[in-house]
Amino acid sequence: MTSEKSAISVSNLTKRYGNLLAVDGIHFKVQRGRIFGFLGPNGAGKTTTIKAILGLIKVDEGEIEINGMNIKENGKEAKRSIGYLPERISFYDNLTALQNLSFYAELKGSTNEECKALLEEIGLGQVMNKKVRKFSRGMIQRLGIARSLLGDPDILILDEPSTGLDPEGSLLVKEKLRSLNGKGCTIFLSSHILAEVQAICSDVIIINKGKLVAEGRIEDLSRKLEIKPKITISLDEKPPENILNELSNMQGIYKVEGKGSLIEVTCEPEVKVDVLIHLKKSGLKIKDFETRTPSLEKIFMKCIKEGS
Amino acid sequence: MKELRCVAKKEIMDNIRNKWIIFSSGILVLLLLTSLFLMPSLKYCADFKEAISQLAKLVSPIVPIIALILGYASIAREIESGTMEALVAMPISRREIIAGKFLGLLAVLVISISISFGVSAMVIAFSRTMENFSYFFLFMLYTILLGSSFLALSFFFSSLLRKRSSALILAIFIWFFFNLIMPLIQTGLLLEVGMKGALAGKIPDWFYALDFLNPLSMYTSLVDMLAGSAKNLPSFYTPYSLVAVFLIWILLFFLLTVLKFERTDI
Repeated sequence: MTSEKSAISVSNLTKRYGNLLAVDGIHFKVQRGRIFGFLGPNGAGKTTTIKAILGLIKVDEGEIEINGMNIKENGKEAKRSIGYLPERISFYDNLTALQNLSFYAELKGSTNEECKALLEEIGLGQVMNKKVRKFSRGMIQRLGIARSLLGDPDILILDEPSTGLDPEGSLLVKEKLRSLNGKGCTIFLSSHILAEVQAICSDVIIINKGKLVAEGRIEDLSRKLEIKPKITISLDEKPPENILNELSNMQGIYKVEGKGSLIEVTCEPEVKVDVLIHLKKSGLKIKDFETRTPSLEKIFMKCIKEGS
Repeated sequence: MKELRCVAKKEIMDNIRNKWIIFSSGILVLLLLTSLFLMPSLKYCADFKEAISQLAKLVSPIVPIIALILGYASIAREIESGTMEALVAMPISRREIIAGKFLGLLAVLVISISISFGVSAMVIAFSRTMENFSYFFLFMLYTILLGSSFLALSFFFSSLLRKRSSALILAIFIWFFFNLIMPLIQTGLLLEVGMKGALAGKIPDWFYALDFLNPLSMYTSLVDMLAGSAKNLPSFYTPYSLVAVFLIWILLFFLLTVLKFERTDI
């Protein structure tokens, strides 16, 4: 397995808890500089996989590499390039936000100044000298985000990052993730909010019952699973039957339905513009149109159904 | 090394203001002072060499409590709350985490005992004349050994558990076991097996060897030897062997904790 270009490379990962096979020989690679969504129903093995990547659990079989470094043999060095936001975020209650962050910063080789700047950036500048025990859940979540960003990580692993965040905080996370990705940071995001994943991620990895069921770019998966985009076009009059027939005969179009002055076309993503041009050339007046790309939810459900 | 120092520093910051540590250290000061000033046998005692055996009886139940408070949940609590997950995900080895935590807790224990003994020593020095002050210092060092052995023990048991509540129950059991159950077993065995020798004024050697399994018995013996009140002891039962066994206790349970933690899923 070549992992030169992979930020994370997981090979034949297997983990048992007693008789329960939590992860069953999964393989995947996370390419550098991309945003990966890691999906699966509850109990699919997502958190176990993340914990294995971070060296938090001992795996029964398999190899994990971070930036080409084996996590078992070179864990300390490998973890230097990772920022991690766990699902359950906690800090030392007796210490202030700054003391907490400074502790982790020292381990990551960051400075106290960086801690202060991060706290300001995530909106905790005013309360940095307050003990964490007085913090609300949202504030702890923000502090967790700051911790994960310490030392400018190459790889950011997030387990349910929006849990407990208010809409403003959630937006802050999304913006931060996009800006980090713009700087080349690889993001590996586990979330049950599929809309969030679809909005941020370019690629997804879907697992179910400890097994990998799908991996790839969202568009590629929708094509592979034959989940097509749909365009709804609103005209100022009912379209003639021959126009609908002409559309049906065009390459890349799967279904055309006329509903009064509305036309619904199921097609390949590349031919959406051709449909509009054809209608325009036919002398029809387009009042409005709406494109519905295949939802990740649909892809997810189909993968889970076919995978099981 | 930097990582180890960093974890130790955090552990000191996190525990030094622990209200239960402050409270039990206060009790220790109170016990030392009230006994020296109010107990008839110690009130007019002018020599520390004579006083330390009695003081040890008062100190020996309290110091293990301070050590158990520090150690009982040190690992279990972090696993339960989730802070251990964040820590292990950092660029630090598991050995460094355990060593740093243990050194930090040990430092808090030493600070707590030193302050308690230091405050008592200062009050005594200003209010009455007592000879052999150096004995009080050695007495303090032996007390630190006692506390450290209980800290290592509770630290190890904390690594076996994932819940603070279970760790607390186990800590209470440890205290009862070494304070009450083990001396009862030891005395029961003596009555059952070594009665003849005991009646003839000769306590069998194995009875002393059993002391090596209980830090409290070793502590009492060490203090009695310091006070000069221990007599007819077997040749292997010396202050050096007792201190060595104390150090083995501490090292053994520390190493067991490292081994266990290296294999623990967080």
